[in-house]
Amino acid sequence: MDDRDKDLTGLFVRDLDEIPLPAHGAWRRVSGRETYLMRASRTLLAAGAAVAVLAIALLLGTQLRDRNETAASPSASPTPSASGPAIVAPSASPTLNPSATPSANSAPAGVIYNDNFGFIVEEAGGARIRNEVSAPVANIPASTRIDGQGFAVSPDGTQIAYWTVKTSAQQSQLQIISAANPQSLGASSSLSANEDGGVIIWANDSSAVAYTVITPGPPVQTGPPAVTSTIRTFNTRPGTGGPGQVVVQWNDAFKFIQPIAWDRAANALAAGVTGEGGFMTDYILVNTATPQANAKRTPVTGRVIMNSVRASTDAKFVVGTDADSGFSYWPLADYSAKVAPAESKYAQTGALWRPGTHEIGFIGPSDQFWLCNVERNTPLGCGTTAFSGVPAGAFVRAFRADGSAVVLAVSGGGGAQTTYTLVKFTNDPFAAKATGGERVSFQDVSGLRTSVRFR
Amino acid sequence: MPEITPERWGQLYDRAFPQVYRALVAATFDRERALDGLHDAFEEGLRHPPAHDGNLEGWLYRVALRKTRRGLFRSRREEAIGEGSSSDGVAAIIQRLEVGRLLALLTERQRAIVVAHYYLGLTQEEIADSLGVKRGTVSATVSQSLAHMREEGTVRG
Repeated sequence: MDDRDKDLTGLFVRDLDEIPLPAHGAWRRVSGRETYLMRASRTLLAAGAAVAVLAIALLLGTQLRDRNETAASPSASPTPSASGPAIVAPSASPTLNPSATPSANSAPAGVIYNDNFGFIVEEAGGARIRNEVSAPVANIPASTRIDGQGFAVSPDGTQIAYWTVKTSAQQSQLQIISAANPQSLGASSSLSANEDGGVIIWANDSSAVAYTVITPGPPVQTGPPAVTSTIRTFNTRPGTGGPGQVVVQWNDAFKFIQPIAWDRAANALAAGVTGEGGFMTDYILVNTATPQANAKRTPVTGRVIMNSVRASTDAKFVVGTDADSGFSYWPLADYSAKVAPAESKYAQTGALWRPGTHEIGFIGPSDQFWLCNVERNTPLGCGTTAFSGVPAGAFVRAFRADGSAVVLAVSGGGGAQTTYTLVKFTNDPFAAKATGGERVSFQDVSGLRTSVRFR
Repeated sequence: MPEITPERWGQLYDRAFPQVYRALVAATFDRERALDGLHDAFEEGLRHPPAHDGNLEGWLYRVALRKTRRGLFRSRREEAIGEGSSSDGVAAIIQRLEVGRLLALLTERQRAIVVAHYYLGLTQEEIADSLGVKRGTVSATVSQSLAHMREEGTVRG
């Protein structure tokens, strides 16, 4: 058996072993249970009977028609007969939900939308939270900075962390709110006057956040001022406060550090170092039990786009996209174990983790949406097609906070609204995999960022 | 060589059932036919057990496959399977598996051979013996199937 045979054997075993078995009680024929042949025979008999009835009906109909044609006088304007076949008035046209996009898999929008979930939508001057059905739920306070990664939703989807806008009267504050009750402020942490807040991430148990704070040094006569970037951690339970705990510090005039993921139980916090080019130059692993004393630095080669680096909701794996070679993933604790799945070079757009899983979602060739389960990667790849018919020009915007659906986006361009397509996954018990099923499209401004969970 | 008693046969059957059942589903795209075929093979084994318990999976697979092929409407069903519309919808489901998409490119006989080779791990000689075809047919079928899969682009190499 050559290597190719071994690969295929692995592929067959991997996939076919997922075919569920019948209950053990059905492994042997139960007395009285019909066999396939018996059922087929019964079907044959039923079909034969139906054909016989049809043949008789046709024969009788033909005889009756011949008799009527013989008896009736020819007429230029036939009069409808009261005893003739009833004319059924055309029914009213089916009413389509104006936001629903007809497609082979389209379904009533109400079936797909789930009012337990919503989205954060960034708009000029602030942000709002809307539910999936489109009714606005609440505005996030107007002074909020929802700018790129200046906010973060907890892994369970229920809490939002963000920075308030820095003004002459007030320093920037890290605030925590509930998606279901955004007007009620949870915990908060203030920065000093000369500090700016950066990327925020949540611990995998939704109990704390880690964030970047950038502190410029004093002006110098030549060259850029020294810049210090630190990562601090902060417990988000209501009633807590304070400046946060510094876990790692990076001193570089041209680069800064930003958190990627935090496995709190494992005391493992991963961070990336990036500069103006936006590529990750170093991967840092910090032991939060002994901050600053035990950081492991791994230089990063290639052109991994820093903003594409995201962790699975349990913070066990990280994915990042290289500008030249597609996405790859690695365990949080070991960047050197990075793997580029076979399909990664086919990914048309960015790759995102499906919440609650170790599956990376991406759009592949032929307008298909793929899910790559990194725990089942083989030399032939890790992906399966979840659904096809991805709208032209679409990219993966977000997964629903519980991973039960995905939102694809097609930009309207020129300031026009963006069209989003929400595709619900079905966990097929036979295939033992998520597949895309019903879908619905809606429009909103292009600032729809991510999914939140209300309850 | 000790005779296979009914009790021993039941134990061997239970051990082999999962793998053979899955192989039959992948070959036929039909859970009902796969289960009925295995039931028949079990009963056949009770009446006329195989000479020895080596390669039991191959024996069960061969007998069950032969039984499933005796169904009425065979040609119509194979046509339906090709269209991915078998009675219990299994074709559409299995095609979502990566390997299922590969198998959908093949005829039922090709699937039976490819599954026996790559999933049950039977040698070409065992497949030829089990399915009652010449070894050259098995070899050619595996090669043709690989070519089909490679054309489709899922198998790289």
